[in-house]
Amino acid sequence: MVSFPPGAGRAGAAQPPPDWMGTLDDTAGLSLQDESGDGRRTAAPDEDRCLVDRAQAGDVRAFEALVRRHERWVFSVALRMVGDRADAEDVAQEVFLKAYRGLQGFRGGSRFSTWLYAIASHHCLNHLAGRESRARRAARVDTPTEARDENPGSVLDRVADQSPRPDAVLERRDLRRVIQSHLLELTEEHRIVLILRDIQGLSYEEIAASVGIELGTVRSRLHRARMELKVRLAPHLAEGSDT
Amino acid sequence: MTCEEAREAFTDLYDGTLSGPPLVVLSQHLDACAACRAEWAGFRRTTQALEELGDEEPSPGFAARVAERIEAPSWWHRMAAALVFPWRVKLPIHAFALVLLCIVGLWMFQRSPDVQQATHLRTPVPTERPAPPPPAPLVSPPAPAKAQEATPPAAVQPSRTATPEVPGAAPAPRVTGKVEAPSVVREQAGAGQEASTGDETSKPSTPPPGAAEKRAESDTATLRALRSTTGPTESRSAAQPVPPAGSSGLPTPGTRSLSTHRTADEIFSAAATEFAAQQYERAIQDLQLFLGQYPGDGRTPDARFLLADSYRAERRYAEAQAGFDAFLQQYPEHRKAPAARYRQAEIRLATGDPSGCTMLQDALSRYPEIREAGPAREMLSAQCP
Repeated sequence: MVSFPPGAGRAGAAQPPPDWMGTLDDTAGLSLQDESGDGRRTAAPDEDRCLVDRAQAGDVRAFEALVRRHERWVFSVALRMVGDRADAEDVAQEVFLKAYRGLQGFRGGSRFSTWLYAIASHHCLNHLAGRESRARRAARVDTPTEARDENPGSVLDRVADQSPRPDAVLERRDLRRVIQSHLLELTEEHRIVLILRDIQGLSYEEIAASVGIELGTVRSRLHRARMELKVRLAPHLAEGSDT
Repeated sequence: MTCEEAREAFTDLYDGTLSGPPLVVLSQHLDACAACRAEWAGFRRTTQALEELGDEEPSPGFAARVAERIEAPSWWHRMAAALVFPWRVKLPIHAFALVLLCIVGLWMFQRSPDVQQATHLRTPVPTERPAPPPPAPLVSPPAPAKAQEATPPAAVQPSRTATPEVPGAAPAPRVTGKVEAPSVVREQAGAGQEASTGDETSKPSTPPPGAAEKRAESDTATLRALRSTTGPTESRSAAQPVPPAGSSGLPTPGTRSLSTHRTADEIFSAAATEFAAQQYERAIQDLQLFLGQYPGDGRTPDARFLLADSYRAERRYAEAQAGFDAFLQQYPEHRKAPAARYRQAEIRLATGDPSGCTMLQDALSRYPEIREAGPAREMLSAQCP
């Protein structure tokens, strides 16, 4: 009988993993950046609170400082969601402008970053919905939408014939591009949850609060997104590759 | 546990939310199932690859651009700024426009004498222009040509070329007192009232028979003669209005012309028309106004004769007598001088002055051919036995 600590799949587990897990870590060759386990957004809440107070009093420079503290991850979320840097910058700017206009409504019941995640998530989803609507109107073509709750198994079956290339050792830069392109193939609802959890490291509760869904829905969407992306990335993430 | 159930638990296993018996069962399955172990390895590579992505940097100056957009004025602020000048620009423009408006208004005021004159008038009285009068009733057909022939041509020329007289220069004492009419005149006139200056109630109520017709005939002939000898307007002297003098027989500032500025032609023409229509009061006013405002006009002798004759027609004998005396003294050679001498005699007879008979005889002897000679003879035989 083997007991697994919480977060068994993540590196940095407190107790030594079983053999199949330790072997896997050695062969993955992908180092992780954040080991905190409860998300990467570790900006000092007190410092945010001070800047928010000043910005609420009309200090634009204080809000500019807030932007500098959070611009990287807001822009990253936007970039992973929309896929284009210029478009992502516009979306990120709009996110901060919305935050500034709604700053008086922020009462400090949660962290500023959590409040900002909610704004960023909703604005990205609205932006994509509007863009898709515009593209659909422009193309006048009804593209069949992928079933949102499609069984990951069926996806797996659909791509099962894609035999992995033996020499598919991608450069790290190319791997990032491939991952980004496959991320964009996910639905927006799956994509945002996957980004917030596996890239931004938010907790289930924070994701549920940001996107406005239940915890069970967060888990369900996250699992389906991971399984689908695993299938899509399988040819590029060969076992034993050291990218 | 089936492979499907085991793979369904991968997320819970990876996120550390699996514990207790389910975790033990999953662990046993993975130990025994190579396929699920491979799936789990792929699952981990995927999630780890995602974590590897990390954050991206926005372009430099991102925060500054956000702050710039925050501080940028809204569209309605920009529109307001474009449409409305700031006060520091608007106030000087408005002040300059106000000063310019005042200057233009002052310049226009100085350039228009009518506006200046209107500002000096106190109580404008609307001028009533009478309708063209009907022809005066004549006892006998007028003989203007004869009258023209009877007038010595030499008498016309001096009046046209004479230097304008200054009002008041002639000794024309203003007669303001009442003159007692002799009993002879009272009997002839059918009334014994005294003649007064402008007192309508004191005038004789019944004029002598045929007197009105004779006077109308005489007035019409006089006016026709005056009109026929006045040249075109262009040939007259362009005298400017001057304040009226206070001499006898000359008018004080008129009251009918206050409302509008009237030219010499307009006033004289109106006076002549009123005289012909036997509206002597109005004629007196206009003639006074004419003599007061245009003392240098070439028609001044005619106007003074008409004024004295209007007084005579109104039985204001004292003013009429003073007017004719002054006329003859200033213009002894005027073409209307013979008629003025007849008028002098008639006025003296009307006022009971016995010297009127002598003057009438003298006039008849000197000017037996003029139109006034006929009525004068009748008057002489009736009043000077």
